[in-house]
Amino acid sequence: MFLRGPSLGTRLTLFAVLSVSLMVLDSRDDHLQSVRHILSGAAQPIREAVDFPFAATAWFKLASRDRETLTLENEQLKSEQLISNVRLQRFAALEAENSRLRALMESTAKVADRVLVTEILSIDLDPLRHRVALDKGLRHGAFTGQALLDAHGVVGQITRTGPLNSEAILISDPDHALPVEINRNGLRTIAVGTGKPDELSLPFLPNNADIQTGDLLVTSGLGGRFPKGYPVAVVSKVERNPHEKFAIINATPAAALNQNREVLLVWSGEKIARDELASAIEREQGNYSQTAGGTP
Amino acid sequence: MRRRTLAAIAVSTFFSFALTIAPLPEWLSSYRPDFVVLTIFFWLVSVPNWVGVGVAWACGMLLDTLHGSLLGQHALALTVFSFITLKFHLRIRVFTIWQELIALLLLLSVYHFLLFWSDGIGNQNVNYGWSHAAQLFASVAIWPVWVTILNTLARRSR
Repeated sequence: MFLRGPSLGTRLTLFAVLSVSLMVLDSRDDHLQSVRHILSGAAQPIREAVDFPFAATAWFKLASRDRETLTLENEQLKSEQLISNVRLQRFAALEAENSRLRALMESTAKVADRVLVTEILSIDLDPLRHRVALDKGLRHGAFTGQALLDAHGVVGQITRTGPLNSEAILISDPDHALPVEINRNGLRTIAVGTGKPDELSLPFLPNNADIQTGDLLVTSGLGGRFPKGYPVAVVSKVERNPHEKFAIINATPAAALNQNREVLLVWSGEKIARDELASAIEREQGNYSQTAGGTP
Repeated sequence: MRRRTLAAIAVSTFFSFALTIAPLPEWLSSYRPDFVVLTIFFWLVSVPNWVGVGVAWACGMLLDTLHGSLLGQHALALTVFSFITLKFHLRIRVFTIWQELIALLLLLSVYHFLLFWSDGIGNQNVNYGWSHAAQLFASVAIWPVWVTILNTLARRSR
């Protein structure tokens, strides 16, 4: 290798400069989106190879169950669905009433959200961060900042999208903060991840704030990332120390952050409406320029 | 012979990448050895005219993609790591296992320091210095086992 090609020192300089400039570009802006897409394609076989045994075991477990268990489970699910349906009926009536009242007050009605089931790949991205890889990407309509839910509450949000897969940050990551409000009295604050999967912290509430253990925290919809009104966590500890300005408050996430395999991607109603409006405007402009070009 | 060695390099590297992202229990995941770096170290020392700075850089880019870190972080660290290894590869070849472990400890310190340092500059999870140390010692601890596996593979492919 010393005979052909540039010397070792030259190679070191070349690749080091390349790496550093990539880091600078990547930290500044989204310039490297396409580079990431290509690399992500190259990494896909590795991800699938690691995920395969887990997916295969899950499939095998499902396939090898006997008839009786399946019948039993089926019956159980049916009765559960019946109960949920009854609840939903009440919910539908309430929703209708809510939109009527909103119309009376001349504020905008809430639009329904759209969801898509996605799977968390069984791979560890980084032991230092609470990130997960998902099997849906740009092609399925996922976008950066999209909210991620499970059956019990908010899980996290998408940080990076590839063509066929994406990466999400969990609400328990120390780099994540989430605008919430207390369901009981509407008090707004911010829930910050702690790095433990079963704990969030509310560092910005004063000692005299009206909050107690057992309070449910829901998304407030401020910040525009998460749709309003989804459960986030239940307050587990409130410690008021007179010497400190802020109370020490911890909460337990409602979602099962470290045991899910399936989660929901959410398109909030407002976002859908906004996108439709944007595409309608685009169409309109297209028509306009066409007619303008057609009749000189 | 050439083709079989190339296959051995490809297979071992692929498995190292797979082990890098394979799920581990919570308590163990901060002690995950840097399998890719260990494998590259092995091939750098044994076949330096096939695996060099360029291959190390490419593997670093792939690591960045898999970890979702800043693009270029692992690439830079691995480039410097492979440069120093190549400078001393003839000496490392005749090292005893203990000398090898010490050399690896020093080289991996450089690698993890570069990662830690670029994390700090990029303002990302700065308060995680201790877990770099955990990974470093786990890597050194697993090396005797890993080098035995790789040696067997290399001898078979010759």
